[in-house]
Amino acid sequence: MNALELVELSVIGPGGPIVTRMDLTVAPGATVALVGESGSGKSMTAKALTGLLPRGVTATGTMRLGDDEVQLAGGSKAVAHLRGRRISLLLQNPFTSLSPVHRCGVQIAAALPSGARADTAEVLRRLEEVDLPARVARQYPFELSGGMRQRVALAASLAADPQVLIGDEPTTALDVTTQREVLNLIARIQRERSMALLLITHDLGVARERADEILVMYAGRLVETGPRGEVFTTPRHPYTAGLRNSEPPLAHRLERLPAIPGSVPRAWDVPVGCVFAARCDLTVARGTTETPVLLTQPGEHRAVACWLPLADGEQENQVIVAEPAKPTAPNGNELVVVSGLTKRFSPDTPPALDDVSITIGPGEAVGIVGESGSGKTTLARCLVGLELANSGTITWGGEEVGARRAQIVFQDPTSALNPAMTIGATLGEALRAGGRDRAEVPALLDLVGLPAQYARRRPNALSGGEQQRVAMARALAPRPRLLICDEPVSSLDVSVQAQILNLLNDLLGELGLALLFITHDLAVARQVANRVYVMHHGRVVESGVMDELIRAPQNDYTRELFASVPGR
Amino acid sequence: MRGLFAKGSVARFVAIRLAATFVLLLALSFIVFGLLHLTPGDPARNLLGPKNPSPEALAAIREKYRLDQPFLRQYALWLGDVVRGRLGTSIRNNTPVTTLLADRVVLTFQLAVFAFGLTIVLGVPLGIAAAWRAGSAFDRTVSVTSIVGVGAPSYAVGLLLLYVFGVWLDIFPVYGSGDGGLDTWWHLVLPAITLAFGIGALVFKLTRTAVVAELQQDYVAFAYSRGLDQRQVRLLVLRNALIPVATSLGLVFGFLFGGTILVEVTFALGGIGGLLASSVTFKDIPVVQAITLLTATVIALTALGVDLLYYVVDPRVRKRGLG
Amino acid sequence: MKRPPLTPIIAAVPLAIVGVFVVGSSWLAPDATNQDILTGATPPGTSGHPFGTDQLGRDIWQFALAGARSAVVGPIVIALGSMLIGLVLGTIAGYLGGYLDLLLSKYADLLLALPTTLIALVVAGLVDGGYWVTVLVLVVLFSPTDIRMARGAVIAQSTQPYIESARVLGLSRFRIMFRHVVPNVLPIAFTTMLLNVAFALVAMSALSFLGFGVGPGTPDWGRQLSDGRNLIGRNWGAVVVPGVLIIITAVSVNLLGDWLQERYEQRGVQR
Repeated sequence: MNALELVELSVIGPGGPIVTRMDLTVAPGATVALVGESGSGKSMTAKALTGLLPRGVTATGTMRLGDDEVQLAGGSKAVAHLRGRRISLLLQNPFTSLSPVHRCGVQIAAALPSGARADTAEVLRRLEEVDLPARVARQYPFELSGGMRQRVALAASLAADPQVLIGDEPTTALDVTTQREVLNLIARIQRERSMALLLITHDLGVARERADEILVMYAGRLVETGPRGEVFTTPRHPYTAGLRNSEPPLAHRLERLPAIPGSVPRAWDVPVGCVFAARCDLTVARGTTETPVLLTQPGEHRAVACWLPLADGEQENQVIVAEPAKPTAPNGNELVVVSGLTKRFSPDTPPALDDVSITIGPGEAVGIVGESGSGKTTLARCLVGLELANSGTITWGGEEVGARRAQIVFQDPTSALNPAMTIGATLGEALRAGGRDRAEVPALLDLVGLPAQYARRRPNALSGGEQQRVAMARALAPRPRLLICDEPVSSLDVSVQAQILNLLNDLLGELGLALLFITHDLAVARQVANRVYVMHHGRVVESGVMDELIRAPQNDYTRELFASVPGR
Repeated sequence: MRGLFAKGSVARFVAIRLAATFVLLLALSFIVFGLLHLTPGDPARNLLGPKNPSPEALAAIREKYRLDQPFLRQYALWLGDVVRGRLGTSIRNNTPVTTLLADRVVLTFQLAVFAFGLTIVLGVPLGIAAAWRAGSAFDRTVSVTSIVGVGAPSYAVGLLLLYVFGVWLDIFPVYGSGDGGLDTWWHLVLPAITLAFGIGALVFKLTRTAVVAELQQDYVAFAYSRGLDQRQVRLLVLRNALIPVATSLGLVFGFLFGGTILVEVTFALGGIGGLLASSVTFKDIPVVQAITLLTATVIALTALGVDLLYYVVDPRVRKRGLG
Repeated sequence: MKRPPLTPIIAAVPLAIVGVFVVGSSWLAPDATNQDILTGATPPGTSGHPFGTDQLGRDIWQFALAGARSAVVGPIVIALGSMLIGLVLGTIAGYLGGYLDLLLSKYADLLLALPTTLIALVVAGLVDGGYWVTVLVLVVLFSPTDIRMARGAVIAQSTQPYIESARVLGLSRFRIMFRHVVPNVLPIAFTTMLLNVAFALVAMSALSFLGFGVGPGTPDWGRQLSDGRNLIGRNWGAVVVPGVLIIITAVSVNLLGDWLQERYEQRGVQR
């Protein structure tokens, strides 16, 4: 008997369908990964299964948990008696999942069967199960790190001993190293309890590593399912293939990342025909009028919803591996030399930057890799003048000053543009700041691959990827010699990420500017940078040419960082 | 000693707050003192009232109120008197201000307590209930009523209530504060309801907003998903909402004071609010100064109390200490 | 085609009517100030006086209609003036920081430490300079709230990436303040201003109720209510008419302001 069975789940919101006719099963102790980008409907699926849909959104379909069966149309009431006991949910953000004013022990105990709630020994046992020390029971969530909070949340969600756990991006908000620990912990608990896991994620690597079966979702529908070993190695659906190909490989650098054109649509915007048709290379007329049904391939455990499924061997992309770049020897002609930079925000916290030294040559692409708190963002801010270091020097070669030295692109595209100004106004202002003419706005838009009409629009009319392009255009407007990008693609979908990385590489070639690329994702850095610095706790722990560093990391932390990257 | 005032300790928290309150009161006292000189015209003449003063009277007043001395010295001396309880003499009837106040403070206090009690008893539970059933007919009805409560001026509401219940239906007495004891409380019913209507509506709104905000938090969804029932979730939410609600109650206290002035005038109650209004009309400055200072002190101490409440109620403040 | 929202319409109707009163009081209520001391106060229904007369023989209804102007014009000026001061000072304080910010914040805190009614009463009462002086006093007393609001909104904006990008582009602080920050503060400023009109309305009429502000003969709702208090036995219209008018006006402005505030907050959450 399956731990979880879902029959014809549909979720409908005020704008239209969000999820359409989804089936899935999870065997006890197994892990099924639901993979999709934003707008795929995966989070709504989790909410539907636990009866937590927001007002105005309804679900239909049948859910079976062991021998309990509920009709999801009944909403929260129908599922309430199963929550916690049979099925439980682990959320993405450990900083908001727990009540800030209650102690951790109390919160874990709350879901225990009423007899056991006062039993402190039981709470301690639960903490032990998630590798947390006993003192955590008396502590408040704000006293713990993100990883520890997520473990508390995990213990809390398991308190009523559910047979099925839904993890909605449970490690996305955590550092790569912590991510691995938490995923290992969940896997161990699964084994001990024979608990099924429905893992919702956008990270292909996580899915590849942890799941027994992978379900690929796009715009509210399942487009492909299959066992872990096969779905990504021999994808049948063009979207799955495109997704896999968009993922920047760690092993080598590509001249061009294969990207899926366009952006991910909302489910209610594609009512008729194949949901992927608009972005697919292989569309047939049938694709725009008839919706393909998920068909199980004969004799296999795979299913695909496509009119033209790819055959084995067709998925291999003609990828061109780039020539390893020749490292530029320091020749005294550096663009910028940072020496011994130290920055401390307050006397009782460790320094954000601790004696950091880096160099960037003209036209060079340099990467900085580190997790949150490594100081990489502070370094970037010091370079553009948003922060002042306490000691150390930043020396610039060349005669440029002010805006023409360095510009920066931030991580979050939605807050990077002034919502009250049109795109044209924003870019025009940036051009003027660089001593150029406003009339060049159309050319600037063209440079980043956007049509000239966008100048009249406001930021909220653009998608995340488009907004990031505009942010890049703004940064390039004054023709800076150095472009700093701080996690520019982390907030974007994988398929859009590849587009932006390609754009970046094109721009570097065309404009000959230097690039400082900051990220936590090594594979992404690899596609863009030639040299790389690894930062940890405010210090540079290792540096070198990208290819060599990846092939043979010297520092322990660097090695740990590499090993933590999931699925590669 | 260092340990006693370590970061995050109660003693440090209280000490800093006390110091800030003290500075605030000092600044306010300076302004209150300056009121005398704010009034147009010669301070000496103002102090003597509308009568046409003789030169001897003027000189005597100048002596008594030290008007010929430098401004700051006047302030220092005045402040010295005030802290020793010597609040001066009323111009209107030559009685010591302290006597005037003593008679009336009790009544105002009764009115304030009555109104505040009604406010908490009605405003907070209704706010919670409305937030829990947000969007329902119940919520919409009470919310609309609260908008009337917040918007309508207290004296207008008071007068209307006075007419309907005091004159037309003749249930409640129309004027005055009765003969003491239970009769006084009876006389205070309409005034208290008038005050509580306005302030209670505000408390209702703030409570409802706080609870609605909590209900939208992730931890609520997470709580339901692990199988907690409505009762348990309600406790979680209320404990979190307690922080903004408690502080809003403190904030509202200030409005209470403004309100008592108008209500006392409307219902002809003999409290210090009414005294303040008539004293301003008659430019009886020592009384005005005394009452303003008294009110300021009470409000400042309430604000201090609210800050300390924060400390008790919010563990984040306790651990990190809002130094 | 979505149904137009109900709330602002319900609020706008009484306000429109009051607006008509304000503008057209001279020909809608020509006999407002006509006194007839011999007749004195009469109950509603007396010939020619649907709501009776007050102790000086003035028609209650016409007097109330004429009172709309003083009830409404001053508060609008107060809200506008206060918001102007608040925006300018608050933006400067919030964006430039430093001593200026500290000074302005402490000034705002000080003024806000006492209830507005109390200070308004004491200051306006002691100064006793008539309607427009009272308006001026209230502009000063209301400005701390707006300074605080503007300052808070500006500080929240300053950490936004698009403001930081503007700094990196080398734009002048002045330009950033007024070209980038203020336009994003305006929506909430407008909403706050509307709510301030409501407060100012209550404050001004409260002051005239207590006897300060307008002169004795001028039509004014607060004054009328104060007089009406003494007539409560002889003519209930003297209390009910101005009382209802003032409540409806104040509540309508509040309703409108609240609705705008909610809409604005929802838009922010929409992301």
